[in-house]
Amino acid sequence: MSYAQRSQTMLSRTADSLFWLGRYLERAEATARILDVHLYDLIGRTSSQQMRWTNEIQSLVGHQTTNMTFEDLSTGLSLDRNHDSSIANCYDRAWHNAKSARDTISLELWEAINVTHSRLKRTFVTDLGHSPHAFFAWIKDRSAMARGISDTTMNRDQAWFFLHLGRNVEQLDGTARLLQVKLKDPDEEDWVVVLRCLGGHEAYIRTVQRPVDKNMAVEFLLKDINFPKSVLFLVINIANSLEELSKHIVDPRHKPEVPASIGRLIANLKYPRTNEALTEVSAHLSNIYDAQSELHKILTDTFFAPAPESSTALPQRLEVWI
Amino acid sequence: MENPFENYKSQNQAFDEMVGDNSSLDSDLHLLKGAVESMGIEELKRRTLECEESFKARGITFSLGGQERTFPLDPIPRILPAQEWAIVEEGLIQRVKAIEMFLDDIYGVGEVLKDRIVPRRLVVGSSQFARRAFGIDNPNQIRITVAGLDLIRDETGALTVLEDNIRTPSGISYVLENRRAMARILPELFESYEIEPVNDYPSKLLSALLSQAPKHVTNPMVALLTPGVYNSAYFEHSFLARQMGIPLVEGRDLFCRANKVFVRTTEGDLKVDVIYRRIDDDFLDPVQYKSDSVLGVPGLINAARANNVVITNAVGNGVGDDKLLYTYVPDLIRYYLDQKPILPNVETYRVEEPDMRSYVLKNLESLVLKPVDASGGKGIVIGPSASEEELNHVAKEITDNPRGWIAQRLVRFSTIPTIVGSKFAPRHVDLRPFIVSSPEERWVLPGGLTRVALPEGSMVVNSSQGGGSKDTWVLSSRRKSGKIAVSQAPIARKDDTASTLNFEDVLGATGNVHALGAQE
Repeated sequence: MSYAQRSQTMLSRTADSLFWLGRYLERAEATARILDVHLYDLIGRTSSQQMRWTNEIQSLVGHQTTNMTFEDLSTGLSLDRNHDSSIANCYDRAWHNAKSARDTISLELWEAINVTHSRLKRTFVTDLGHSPHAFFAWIKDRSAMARGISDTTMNRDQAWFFLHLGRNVEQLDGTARLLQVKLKDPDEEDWVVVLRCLGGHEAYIRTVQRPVDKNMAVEFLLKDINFPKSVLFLVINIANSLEELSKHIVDPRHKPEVPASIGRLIANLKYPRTNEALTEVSAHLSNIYDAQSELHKILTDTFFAPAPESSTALPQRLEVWI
Repeated sequence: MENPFENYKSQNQAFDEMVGDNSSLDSDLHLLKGAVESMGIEELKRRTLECEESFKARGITFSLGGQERTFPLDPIPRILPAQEWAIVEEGLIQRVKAIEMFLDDIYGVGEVLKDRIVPRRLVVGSSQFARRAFGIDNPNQIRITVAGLDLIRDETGALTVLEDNIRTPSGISYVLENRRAMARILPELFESYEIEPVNDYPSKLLSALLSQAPKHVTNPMVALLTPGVYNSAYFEHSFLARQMGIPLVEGRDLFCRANKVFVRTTEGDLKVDVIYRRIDDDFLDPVQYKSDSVLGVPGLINAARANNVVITNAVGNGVGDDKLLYTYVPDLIRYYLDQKPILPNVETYRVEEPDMRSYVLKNLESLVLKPVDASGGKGIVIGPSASEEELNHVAKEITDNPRGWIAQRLVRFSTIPTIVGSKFAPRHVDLRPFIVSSPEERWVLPGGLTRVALPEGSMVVNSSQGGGSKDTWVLSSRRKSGKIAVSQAPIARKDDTASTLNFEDVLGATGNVHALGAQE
């Protein structure tokens, strides 16, 4: 038998699972980062500031804002499985999606997710004890590990691209949400905290070489082409992944185009009008949401091709776009 | 250091495969014993524990009640000498071949019924008999692509067939994973012993599946149909799909159009030609079977009937591993193959026959009672350990539905030393060998899954009830070339002119005629 690349078929259901696997892995890490950063910065803050952050974090994760202490919120977002964005819940869902796509991901990636998941199952509130930092650091490590393993052990075929796409979509969502929530708050002075929520403080310093300032931070998060969590960087990545995935589609009638809204968003961010005012940021944000919903439609219509569900007897997949 | 084999004794009159009167193995065993003695039991346990952790990490688990559990591996392997295995292999092939011919027959012309070898009422009265399977007749189709029989070694040391599993037998993934693990636990021994490899299995199965594609198909698409992630054998399904490089599909990934089966992919809908299904008949096609099944694919059976897809193992196979039919398998071997059965059955009482029934009802407390159509150890009553109440209950069931039950002599399965605490203790084992068949050959995986009942005295080896497993080593015979030539022999198909085939020709190739005993 001679060496030949055989085209790998990718089930629609599996593609869907991989996409969501990427999203949930990313979301778990994002939640850990946000909690870690705020927890650290709580020291020496007034209680009204604490309350403000608690509310902000709740709107960041798509939670109805209720009055609760930061500690309760942090524990809930770590281990409460009833909470959509909690780390434990994200890993539960990531694990189920990984299991469902088990035949397309590498053994090492599966092992990494499986170990994190099973250890989280045995983690209790009391285990967090006095060191939630250690817990968040562990989650960040495990996520970095999963990312590294998938990048080094998986072919750049459809499986990897769907996983990668899920990650980028989730990160885009995270950056956009963070901007939206933080811009709503006129009292937000500390944009260092905002940058650190995305692990971007050092990257900002390196690029801008000026003290952190609101306008520059916003611009950095929107338009810096080198920062891997900036909107521009992510949108370009998403467009590339989509193009790569479309190559596999033989039927020209079903070939998805990169949505116009994504193209527009890239153009607007890349070539801004001069002296663009900060007020136009909200226009960018609404463009991002348009792009996201168009992307969602393309993915479900073209790639995930949902089967007409015949019954509810099986546990239905319930994913949260938030 | 204390010798872990010291004070080790067989018990309960069971045959022990490592100690006692088993000189044929002695020369093969001393290396293993030596290695274990010099390593010490603590080191052995440590290495085993490491492997168990790696099983957990890799998710080599089955779900039971929402929990992910491992199937514990005991590090003392079971050793089967080449000479014995050659005979077992032929016995297995013979048995599967006869059952396959029987299935072809009853879902076809029914000669065996006309000749009154098996009573017609027994066949059509089986809960697993499928009228829907009539007329599904693809020329390349093998009904029993994968068979997983259950063998036990009785008190005299003879390997005996306990059950035939020809629907969707599972366990192969543990065989392959156990072997990998053993190479880490006792690497020393892999140098000293020449052990028949087991890792051919996925490629053998893939070839068997590919070769069954409908005739007009040139580049067949094969898929493995699983009930989904909630099934306890899901690990195995994904394992096999990955090893064979075929898509792992659920019912909702497939649909039928114009009697063809398609899978939904990111590139569009692709036609499927062969389905290796790991779903029970009942759930396969809601049009034909349980209408509320969401695991299956509406229209699948008709697509198979139209020869556009091959489903294997075939629909309706359950009648072939009905436990009452089991008692007729030796007759089937004589009838179809004109041979003497190589592997014996366990003494079994057909309780539907009135004389047998009254005997069984009088002796319930010394027998094992089994429902004829269950698999996986469900519903079995072991007389000596059952309560009065259970016995009364089963007596009533038998009286009400004699066709639904059989009784068997309680066989004391053989034992093998197994780590218990910091000692070895005898534990009962069975063996599930796997037979993969294609239109060209029947191939027996060397060894199979040895399951061990871990609680003391227990003879229940099922994974859900405290069972563990052992790696099974078939030692290479010295003359490798002439070996297992029998598996190369063509399988008699229903379209062959003779209903019996010339077994002498087949046997001649192996040179094992004498070992097999006289031909009838």
